[in-house]
Amino acid sequence: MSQLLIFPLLSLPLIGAYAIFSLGLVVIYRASKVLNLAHGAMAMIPAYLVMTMVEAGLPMLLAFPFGVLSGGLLGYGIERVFVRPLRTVSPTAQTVGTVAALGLLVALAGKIWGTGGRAAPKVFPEGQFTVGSSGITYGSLGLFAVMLVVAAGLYLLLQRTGVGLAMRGAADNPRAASLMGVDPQLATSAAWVLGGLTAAIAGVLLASITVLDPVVLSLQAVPALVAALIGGLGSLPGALIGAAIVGATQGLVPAISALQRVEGSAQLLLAILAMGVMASRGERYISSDVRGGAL
Amino acid sequence: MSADRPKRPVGLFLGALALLSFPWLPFVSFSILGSANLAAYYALVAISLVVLTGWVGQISLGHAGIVGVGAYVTGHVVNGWGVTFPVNLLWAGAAGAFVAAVLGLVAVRVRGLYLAVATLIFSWTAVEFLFRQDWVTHNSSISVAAFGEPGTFPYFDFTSRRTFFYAAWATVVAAAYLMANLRDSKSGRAFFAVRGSEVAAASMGISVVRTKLTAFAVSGALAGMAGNLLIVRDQVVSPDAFKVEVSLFFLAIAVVGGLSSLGGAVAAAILFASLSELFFRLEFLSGWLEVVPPLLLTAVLLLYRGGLAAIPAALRRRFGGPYDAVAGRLLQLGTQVRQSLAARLPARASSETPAEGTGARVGLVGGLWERLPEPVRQLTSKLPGLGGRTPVAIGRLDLAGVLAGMQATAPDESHESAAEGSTTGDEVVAGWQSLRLPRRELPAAREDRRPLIEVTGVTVRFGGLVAANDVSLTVREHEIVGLIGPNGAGKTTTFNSIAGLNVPAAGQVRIFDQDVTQWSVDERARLGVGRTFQAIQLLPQLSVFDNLLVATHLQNPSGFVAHLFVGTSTLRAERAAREQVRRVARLLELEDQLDRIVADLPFGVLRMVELARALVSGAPLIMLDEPASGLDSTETERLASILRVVRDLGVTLLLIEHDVQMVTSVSDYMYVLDYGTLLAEGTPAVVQRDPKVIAAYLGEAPAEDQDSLAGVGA
Amino acid sequence: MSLLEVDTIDVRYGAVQALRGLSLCVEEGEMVALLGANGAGKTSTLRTVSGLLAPAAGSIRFHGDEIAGVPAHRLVGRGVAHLPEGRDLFPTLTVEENLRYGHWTRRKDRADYSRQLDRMMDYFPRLRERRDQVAKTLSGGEQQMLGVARALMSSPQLLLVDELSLGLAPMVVAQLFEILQEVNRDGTAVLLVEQFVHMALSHCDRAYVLAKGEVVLAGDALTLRDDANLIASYLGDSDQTAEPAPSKELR
Repeated sequence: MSQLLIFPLLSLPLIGAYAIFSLGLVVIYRASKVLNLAHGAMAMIPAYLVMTMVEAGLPMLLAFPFGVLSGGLLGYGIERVFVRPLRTVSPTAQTVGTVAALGLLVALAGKIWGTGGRAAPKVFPEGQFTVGSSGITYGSLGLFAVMLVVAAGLYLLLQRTGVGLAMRGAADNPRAASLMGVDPQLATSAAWVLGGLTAAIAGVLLASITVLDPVVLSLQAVPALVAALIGGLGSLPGALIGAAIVGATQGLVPAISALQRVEGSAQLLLAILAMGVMASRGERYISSDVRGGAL
Repeated sequence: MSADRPKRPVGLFLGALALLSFPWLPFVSFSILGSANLAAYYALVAISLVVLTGWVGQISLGHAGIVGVGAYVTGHVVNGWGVTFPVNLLWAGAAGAFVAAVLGLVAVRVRGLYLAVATLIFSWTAVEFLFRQDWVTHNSSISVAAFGEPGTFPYFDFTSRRTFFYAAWATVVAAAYLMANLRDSKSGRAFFAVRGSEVAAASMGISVVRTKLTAFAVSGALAGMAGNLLIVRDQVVSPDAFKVEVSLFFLAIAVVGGLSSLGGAVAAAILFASLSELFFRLEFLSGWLEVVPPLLLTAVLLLYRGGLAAIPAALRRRFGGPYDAVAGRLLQLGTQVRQSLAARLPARASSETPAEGTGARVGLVGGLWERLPEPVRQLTSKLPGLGGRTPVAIGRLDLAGVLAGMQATAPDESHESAAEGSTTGDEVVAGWQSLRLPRRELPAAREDRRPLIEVTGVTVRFGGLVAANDVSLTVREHEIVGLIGPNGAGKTTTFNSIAGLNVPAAGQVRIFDQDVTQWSVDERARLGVGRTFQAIQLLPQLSVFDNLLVATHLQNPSGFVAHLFVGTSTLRAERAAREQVRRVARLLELEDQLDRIVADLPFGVLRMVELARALVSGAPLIMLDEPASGLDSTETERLASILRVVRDLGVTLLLIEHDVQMVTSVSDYMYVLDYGTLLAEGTPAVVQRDPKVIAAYLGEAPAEDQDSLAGVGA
Repeated sequence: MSLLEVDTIDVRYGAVQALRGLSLCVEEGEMVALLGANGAGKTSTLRTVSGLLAPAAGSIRFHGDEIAGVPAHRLVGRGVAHLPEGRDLFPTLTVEENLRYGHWTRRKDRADYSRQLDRMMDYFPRLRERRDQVAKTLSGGEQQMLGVARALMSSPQLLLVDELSLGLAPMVVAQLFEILQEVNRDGTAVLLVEQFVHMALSHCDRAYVLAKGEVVLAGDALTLRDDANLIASYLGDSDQTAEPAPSKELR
């Protein structure tokens, strides 16, 4: 009985991390129609920065907020340098821009901090909750709890504040927004900052319960991307649902003995699901207002 | 793209020389040779991305997965069946083509951003799932990498770096050669057309689906072959070689090369391989290699989007004189070599000189292909081309024939036009203004003329909105029909139903007496319908000539395989296509603009080019979408005159327009729509005076003004 | 000094010349119509005035201050509101959120917000019923009402309206025009683009008729209504239209 509990429990931190990533991806996508493939790097760099600060003697209580802020800065920077200049080309070119950002950040991190995995400082205290004969670490629980806070916070910000209203409107209809006095570019930058802040939170927490590695951590964005896609890319609740599906699948599928021997079967399932969702929402391949050019 | 610029022979000549002598040069050490082999691997992948992402605009973030498939398949056929190089190369290519084609099926449904993500997910799945399966990877090391038996001739041991160098680069050169042929052919033009504007490509008869699938397959084949090179070189591969980051790295190589240029791709591959060698050598740079590819990618994306491929042109601009002198000398040398080689071949291959300005390679290999037995060639011609199933075609307008029957009018003008005549002897074509057109014998009553378009009771709904409601209209042979109506009246919706861009909820559309209601855009194009677009859908980076050449797609019978090998039939078809373009350009007085890049031209000229493109396709029925939009009054009048001439040459026209003045001056018959329904029809004189039409445009007049309204325009 | 002076502006969309040396003006408290066939440049004119487009040449003065080239999001604070064609609402935002967005430039004044909100609900009672409904679920007429209300939330001095009547039933259009007139009487100048000539002329003080990017007719509404050239500018001169015949020699 308690064996079966391990896997859902293992899913919790995954769901937590993917949910935070996915929320950030959706906020960015709605605002600028770009899929931020550098999202994982926006999680990874702040994690390393926090580690460096803690190793230098700064208490986690201070290092954590600084790390999160650095994520926000990174988000603004990536949009400003890699995405905005390519606005006149196409959203696809902008997405390739985020690829360039990703590569650069991963390489820099590898150079500065080394390419081997490192141990990240804990955010939550050591120890675990025991459930039967298995358990869940405080860190993992903490990640999940923080995710709930982040989701609630985003909801309140976007739905209940003036700034959130401005951002939502600018994402919906940039032209109308500018006619109402809201600079759509500013709203877009704000969305990227938000994405960076949330990515940093997830990155620091995830690193503290897994491993700090420039590549591995950055590529956690791919399952998060799958989560966002499954959720439809359009709404925050969708992002959460997608994350739940992805996290649960990755946690539960290995529990199914038939599939246990097939390595990576969870990922295959998710990939098929994501492709299916994309294909079913895909447009007819010719529409009358098709614009030309990719890159 | 199609002009023979000196740079190409320069590059080819130098490149050939460098390749042949490279392994023997004194400074080339063992490790440098290894890097050179790495460069070949990179080059082949980069070329595969140029074809898919550069030419057709289908972005791939997952090519490492396809390369991996090629590598593992090679492992299987070598260990399992003892297949040697180069045959195992073909196996790898076939596997890569297959996997890529499946990925391409996804590309049909999603576009742009989503496609990028789909390929990324594919790459991720390949690493997380596929390359972890034992049945895939158990043959990841090959025990023998050789061609032939040791001790006999020929025997090539690919574990020797030098031997591998020649084999790998021979593969790259062959691939580049074939792709270059493809680029300059009808297939290549179809690729570019689909990238530029899918709907415009379809309107010229190009099947977008088949084009994309073909591009994926070709690209996949090349990527699979690259995987083959990898495993043959190292005799072992691990899944690490095909991780997601590697896909992104491959894209970086292609982008740095300039994304659309074969030469650029090879240059970028050499650059990256050299950098890895350099960084390996220099102690203080170690560890910084990782930074270079993304740095270069960023630099190219943001600062120098042409990539390496743009450098020769920039050098030329800067160093003009000396550069041209050197280039000219090398060009001479290259031509001499080529001619002496061609002279050694049997007469058939060398007698066919390339059509002027084609840039098509002399068919050295093409000559060989011509020698294949007839049944084999028949078979290859049946391979699916990029035109898809051909419905019963009504036949192209024989513009050449029509124009040949004309003479220039005034004596002084005839001298001029004779001097500007084409190179094919007896065809002297003058511009539209000096044509004398015979009076066409048509049945007097409109109803007796053959209907080309019959729209019956068409209703189109978008969600809850009824955009077109039970609309019926007819367009008859040899007339100009105008479709007008206020904003939101349903003109565009009806137009799109005829063009194939929406499917009516009720009613029927017949064109050339076929029920085309469910047909796609390209199927209607093959039937004989051409069109122009309100928003100019030309390829901005190409010349007017190249843009018009795309429209010869349906008149060009040569097939895909022929394009790869450039046989005499391909050359003949190319020549005919180019003549058609020149003919139409002369007709519309666009000759001076032919070599100019579209992006540099004024709007009025672009409207003419749109029209020219429809004429080049030879469609006997052309639909025009707001052709006067954006033109000033002089240009509009000129357009009206040209449309009348086009009609008298035998083309039937249907146009929607907001400039009612222009439509009334040019149409033989008009239909007026309002709120999605047919309001009035008749000759322009009748329609213009119809009070319902006036009310529709100006709005309902208040009751007391009815008298003054009736007094106007009587 | 007029409230709005547009002085010989040239406007381009990429390669297309949309406006050629166009001039017009709007006085305080006036209601002026911009008429003309589709593609004549009416929408481009409004977009240039509101700052969505920048003219390549010429100048635009609002209250005497040069505003050509000032981007839209900075212009609305100065008292110009633009209701674009097709309503241009925020589809996923509710009615009330759309209205609140319209009040963005005055968001610090909460009292003014409540005042304006009530005023708009009085003009358009149906919006009050639907205040928590998401904008894209409203009918065409209700969406247009929301558009007008939203544009008025910032209490503009100049209201630019583009094709109010598009896709709406005549009764709804008449209602909306009545409300515009009331707004105009309360002090807001209105420059409206309209395809339906008679509707516009019966509510406006003056009108300009555009064709191919230029002003071809101008005058006060009553005079223009009876002008034969008006119809000709839309439908062409019917006296010149002969029965078509195949062309032979041309110039």
